[in-house]
Amino acid sequence: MESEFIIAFKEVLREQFVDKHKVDIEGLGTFEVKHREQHQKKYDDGKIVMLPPADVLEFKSNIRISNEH
Amino acid sequence: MNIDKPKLVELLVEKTGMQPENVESQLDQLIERIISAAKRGKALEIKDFGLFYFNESGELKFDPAEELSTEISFKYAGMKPVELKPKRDSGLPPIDADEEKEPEFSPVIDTPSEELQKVEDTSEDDPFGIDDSEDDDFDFLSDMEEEPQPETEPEVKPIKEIKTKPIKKAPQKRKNNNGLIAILAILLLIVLIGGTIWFMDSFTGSEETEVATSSDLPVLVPEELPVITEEDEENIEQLQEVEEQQTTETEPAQEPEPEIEVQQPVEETPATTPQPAADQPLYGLMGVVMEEANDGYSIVIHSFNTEDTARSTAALLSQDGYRALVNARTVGGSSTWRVSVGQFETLEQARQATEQLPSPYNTQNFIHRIQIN
Repeated sequence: MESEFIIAFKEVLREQFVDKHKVDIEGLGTFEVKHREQHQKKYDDGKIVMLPPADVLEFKSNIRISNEH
Repeated sequence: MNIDKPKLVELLVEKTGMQPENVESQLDQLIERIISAAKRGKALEIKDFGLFYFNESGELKFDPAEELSTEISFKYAGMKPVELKPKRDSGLPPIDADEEKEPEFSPVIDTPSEELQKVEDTSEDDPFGIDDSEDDDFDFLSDMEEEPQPETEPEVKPIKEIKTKPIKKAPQKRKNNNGLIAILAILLLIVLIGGTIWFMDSFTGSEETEVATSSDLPVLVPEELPVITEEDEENIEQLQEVEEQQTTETEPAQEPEPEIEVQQPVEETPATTPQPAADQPLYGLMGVVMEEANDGYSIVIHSFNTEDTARSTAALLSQDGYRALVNARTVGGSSTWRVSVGQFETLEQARQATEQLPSPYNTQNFIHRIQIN
C-alpha cells in the first residue's frame, strides 16, 4: 500500500467530514458527523460539568468479529 | 450528501491522479488491513486520523484522532467544559433531581446489548468533548491555516447556546456560584480597605510631626519663647522643672522634645557632636551613632522633604542624647528624608524601645532598617 494513497485517503475523508457528508465505505462502515448539543455530565466524584456543544464523528459498522469466524 | 464507495474512489482518483483500478485495490487493501489487524486483537492506527479496533462485544469501532476531532468540531474549538457545581456541594437533593432529568445519560458501559444503544453510549461518554476543548488552540489554528474552511457559519451561535441553556437547566447552581463570588469579593474589599488604612496610618504620624516642626521652627525662633504645643502637654511639668534648675543655661539638657528646644541655634549642633563613650553598647536608643550598628533597625519619628530640615532635627535629637540618623528614601516617586532614633539589632528590640519615647512619638512612629546613603 502506498503512503501517497493513505495520505490522500485521510485528506479526502477529512474534507468530507468537515463538509458534514456521510461517508459509507462498503466492507468497513459508515462515518457520519453529528452535532452534539451541550450537555451536563456527572462524574463519580459528584462533579457536574457542562460540556460545550461539538460536532462528533460517529462510526457505525456491521462488521462483527463473531460474524467473521 | 452521501458518499459511497464508488464516489470515494472517484474523489481519491481526483486527489492522487492514480488510476481508478489502482485506487480501488488500494482501498480494498486498506480495509482488509484494518479488519485483519483488528481481528488479531490489534488496533490499527492511521496517523492523524484514528484507530480501528474491535471492542469487547466484537463490534468494529473507530476512535478519531485528536487532530481529526478538533478539525471536525472546529466551530467549537476553544470551548471548555464548565463546572456547574463545586465538589463540596455534592449531595444536595435538588441538584440530583435536576440531574435525573437527563435520561440518556448512562454511565453503564459493560452491558453488551444492541448496537444502537452502544453507539449512544459512546456519544454520551464521548471523550472528545473534553479532549477537544482541552486541546490547545494552536492545533486548531494550525489546522485552519493549512486548510482554510470555506464555511462561514457565524461564531456567535455556540455562544448563544451557552448563554441560554445553563440558566434553564441549572439555575440553582448558578445562584450558588454567584453567592460565593459575592462573598469572596466582599472579603477581598475588606482586606484591601484594611490594608490601605494601615498603610496610611503608618505615614500620617510622621507627616503630622513634620508639619508641626517645620511650622514651629521659623515662628518660634524670633519670639525666643518656648511655646508648648499639644503634643508636648505631657512634658510641661518636666520642662518647668528643668527651667527652674538651669535658669542661666539656654539649653535644657534633659529636654526630650526637639520642637520645644527652639532657642538653640542649629549651627551649634555639628560642634557639639559627642565622641562615642568607651562603654556604650553597640545597639541602643540613647548615646551616639555607632557605625558598626548600622546594620540594624531604627525608629523613624520624622519625615521631611528637605535634607536641611532633617539634618537640623537630627542634630537637636542627638543633643538630647538620642542616636539620631538621617536616611533618604524614595516614597511614591519623591524623595523624603527620614529622621530616626536608636540603633537596634532586632525589630523586636526597636519595638520595645518605642515605649521609652515621649508622646506622641511612642505611638506615632515606624521602624525601618537602617540604610546609610
